[in-house]
Amino acid sequence: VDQAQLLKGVLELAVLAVIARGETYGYEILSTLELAGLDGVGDASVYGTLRRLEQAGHLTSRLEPSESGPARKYYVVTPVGREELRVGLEAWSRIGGALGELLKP
Amino acid sequence: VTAEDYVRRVSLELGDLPWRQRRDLVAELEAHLAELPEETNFHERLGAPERYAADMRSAAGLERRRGLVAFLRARRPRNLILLVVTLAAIGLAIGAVAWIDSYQPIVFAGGTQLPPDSKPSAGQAGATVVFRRGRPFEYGITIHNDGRFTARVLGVPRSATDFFKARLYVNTPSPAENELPLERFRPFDLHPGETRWLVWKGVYACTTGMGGGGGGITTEAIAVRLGFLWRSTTVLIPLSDPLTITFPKGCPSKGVAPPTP
Repeated sequence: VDQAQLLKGVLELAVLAVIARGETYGYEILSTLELAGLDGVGDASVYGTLRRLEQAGHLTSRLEPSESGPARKYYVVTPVGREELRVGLEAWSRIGGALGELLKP
Repeated sequence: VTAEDYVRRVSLELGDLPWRQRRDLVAELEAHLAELPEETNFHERLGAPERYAADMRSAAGLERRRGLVAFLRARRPRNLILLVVTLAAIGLAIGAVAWIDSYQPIVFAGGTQLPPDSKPSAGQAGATVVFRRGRPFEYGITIHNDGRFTARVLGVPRSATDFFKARLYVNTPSPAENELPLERFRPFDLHPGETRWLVWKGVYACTTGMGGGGGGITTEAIAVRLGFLWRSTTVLIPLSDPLTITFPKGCPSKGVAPPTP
């Protein structure tokens, strides 16, 4: 079981958590995930996840024109998204705890 | 691969998505590629464009769309509108051409100037006259523009069954349609609602090729050369009062001299 496989299920949660820290954009989100050690997710998956979260109303976005290139799309978490994040984190800590127990030598 | 190439190939893979959605995704990818360090190898970092598109689809839950509706939604709205407008314009043009090609506003107006000595036809509408070679012949009908646009009367072709030699006259336009200051025919515009006399003045003559013996010819329609915009055509104007001519002594065609009395 590689990390990418494990990550798929929790990628939404991870992306929501990053954006919940403050308004940010795609490349910055990727860099934050990488810095946190969640590399190998794949840029496409992160952008796809952003799309899905926005469609679900968990995120809103705005375009910020850039001087040096294409406009950047900035994301913020909506109240619905925050609630989703809270529920998700609770679920995650339960799973994490349970797994921790199971995986004890 | 350049960023442009990469984006184009991803965009192609997402070609089934609604246009705005694809535009947003592509714009975000463009912005992303612009952020990456200069020396980044896109293939190494992002995988093949097909792979990238597939991964984004699965993460975003974007299923492949099929069918006509998806195809139309994937077009750029501006292009769709352009296409519809173009098709409508072509349709209108075809319709206009078809209409112009079939426009025939000239009708028989009911007025008939019968040849001298004619009598009402027995048992049918119209009049009958007896053919008399060399005697004066005069015959007129009225035509009327029943349509909404001016048509040009270019001429009245001779018919194979003409039994007279005559010059064609037309009355000068006047407020009272039945007044008859006649002038030699030359092409004229027949305006909507306008009525004119066409009058033949000449002599009975054997131009028909009819052999000896009896029989008769009934003229039920007059052929008129009509001009309308770029088109000129021959139209048949049915007469409600057809003229019948009878040939008690026949009328041999030219070249075969008839017995002189």
